[in-house]
Amino acid sequence: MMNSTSWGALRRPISKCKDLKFTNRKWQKRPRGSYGPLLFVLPSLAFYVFFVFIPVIGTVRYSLFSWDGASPNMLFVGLQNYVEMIEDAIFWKALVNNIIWTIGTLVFAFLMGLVLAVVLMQSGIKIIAPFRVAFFIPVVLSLVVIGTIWSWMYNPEFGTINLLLNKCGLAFLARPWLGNDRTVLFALVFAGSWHYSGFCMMVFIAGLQSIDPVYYEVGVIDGATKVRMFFFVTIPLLKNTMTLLIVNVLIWSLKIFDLVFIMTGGGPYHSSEVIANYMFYVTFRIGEIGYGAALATTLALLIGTLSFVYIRMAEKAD
Amino acid sequence: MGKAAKLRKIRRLVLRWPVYLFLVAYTLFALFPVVLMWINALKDPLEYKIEFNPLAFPKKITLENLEKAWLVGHMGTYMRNSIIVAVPRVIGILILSSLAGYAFGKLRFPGMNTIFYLMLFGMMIPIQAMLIPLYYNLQRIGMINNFWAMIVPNFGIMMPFAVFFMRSFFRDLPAELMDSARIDGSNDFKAFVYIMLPLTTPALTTMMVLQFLWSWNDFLMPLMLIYEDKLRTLPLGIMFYLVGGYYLDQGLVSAAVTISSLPIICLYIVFQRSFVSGITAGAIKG
Repeated sequence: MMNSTSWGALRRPISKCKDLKFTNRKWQKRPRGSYGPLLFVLPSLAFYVFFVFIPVIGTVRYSLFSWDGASPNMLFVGLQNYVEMIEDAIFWKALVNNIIWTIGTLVFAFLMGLVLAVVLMQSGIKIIAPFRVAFFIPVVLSLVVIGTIWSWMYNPEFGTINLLLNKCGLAFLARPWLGNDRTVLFALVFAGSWHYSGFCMMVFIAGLQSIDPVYYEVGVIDGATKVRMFFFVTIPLLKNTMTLLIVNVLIWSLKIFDLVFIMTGGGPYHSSEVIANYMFYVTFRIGEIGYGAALATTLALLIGTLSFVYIRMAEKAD
Repeated sequence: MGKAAKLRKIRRLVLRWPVYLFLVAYTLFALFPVVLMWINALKDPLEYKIEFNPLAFPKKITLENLEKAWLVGHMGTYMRNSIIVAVPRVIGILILSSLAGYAFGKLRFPGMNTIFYLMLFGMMIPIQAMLIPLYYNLQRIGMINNFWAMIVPNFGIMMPFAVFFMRSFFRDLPAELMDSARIDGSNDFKAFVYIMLPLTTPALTTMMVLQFLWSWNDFLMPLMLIYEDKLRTLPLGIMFYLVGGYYLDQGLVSAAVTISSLPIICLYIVFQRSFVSGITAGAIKG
């Protein structure tokens, strides 16, 4: 990196260098800028306001009404929808499932990503690229495709997982993975983590690459073993990466919709329900727009807070 | 010395094979479900009737399933629709976001910070927060159950992240470039087209790949806005395979999955770097 003190004067835009006298330049006389550049921003701002900002306000507004989506009169009910939500057992079930989803993703995908990244980058092996490419393939697939593949794998009659278990002499473990309210969430989280762990690995690889090798050289001189270096050098230096990734896992787990919708639709009997799917179900299946909007607002508040924290931390880490 | 070096080499090899074993095992785990679908897509439908074993390799490779999925299962139409939606959508987002990103990153104008924070707000909220009013608003302006419905709203929805991403690239370009362009007499727009834009090609490629991926995999908005089969994109089409009567036709489902997953995997192999940097940067949205 360039030393900013010695090169600072040269890297500063001329317009900001008071020691250089170009006082007559037209462009220099507009410290606040002109209205011209606004033209560059206006088109995207217009689309944004129309398709994001106004609808978001609309959602909050809808959440204060009772409406079936078709009738011409909307009934203002104040915070009634939110009261209903707090008393709704399925909402709490969905929220708990989102939390379980987070924990499951942390256990499967986050840890797997860390292990894969460390093994690839620090075990001294020569062949890295093909593994890296292969591990990332599940990340680029759409969740609909993943849901289809895994529904197929979990199928009780012809599913590959039960078939493999039978072949390995573990037939007692074979079961209808998605049809049982005890296994369904686990099965979904596992499929989700299959998709997500490649992403975690890439984030960890980026984190590992930013660690100064000097730390490891010092470790070698001090006679530390690889295992000790992992726990006392790698892990502490990955702290920022890890916090960012954990917040990311939280956001991802709260947002999860496609997989649940495709594979179980939240069933059986809402046992794999998550907030995003419940919101869709309430709004577009049952037609309680107001209540759906209240769920959407709650979800947005949760994700918004986490995203705010994430963006703040990401900026600080830069 | 020679013997010691040899020993060390052998020792390293012995120590490393468990590492490779682990990596190969995980590769199998990561690719197995996908490859299994590809294999089953190539299987003769008759093989299923004789022996119900998705793990077996096909005895005879046939394109029958793929053909059936393409024509009878409408995968051809879905694929065409996915492309019709993705191309204008990606181009539109690229143009709009690079213009705005340039203005935020390199120019100054009144209200700049206010507008920027307004857009940053959009990056923090999930799609669910705008779903319901968007549905009714779009219905009102007739932007429902047509291709526009899958293209135009995304100019707004994808914009916060896209602008944020492009802005950081424009901001990091040296300011002297702008100054010299101005000294040479070009206005802001000319400086953008001839000087800045060529320099942001890597960012534009990443953005293009990422937006294409999001468009290709987009599910929730089309699910809400499209109800005619001839307009469905690949994810929607596959979903209706599952819900519809094709569920038990293994060959057809695997063929459908193959058709929709192969293009994106090939694209990923070609644009690896852009995919990885894009997906890691875009993790918060998406």
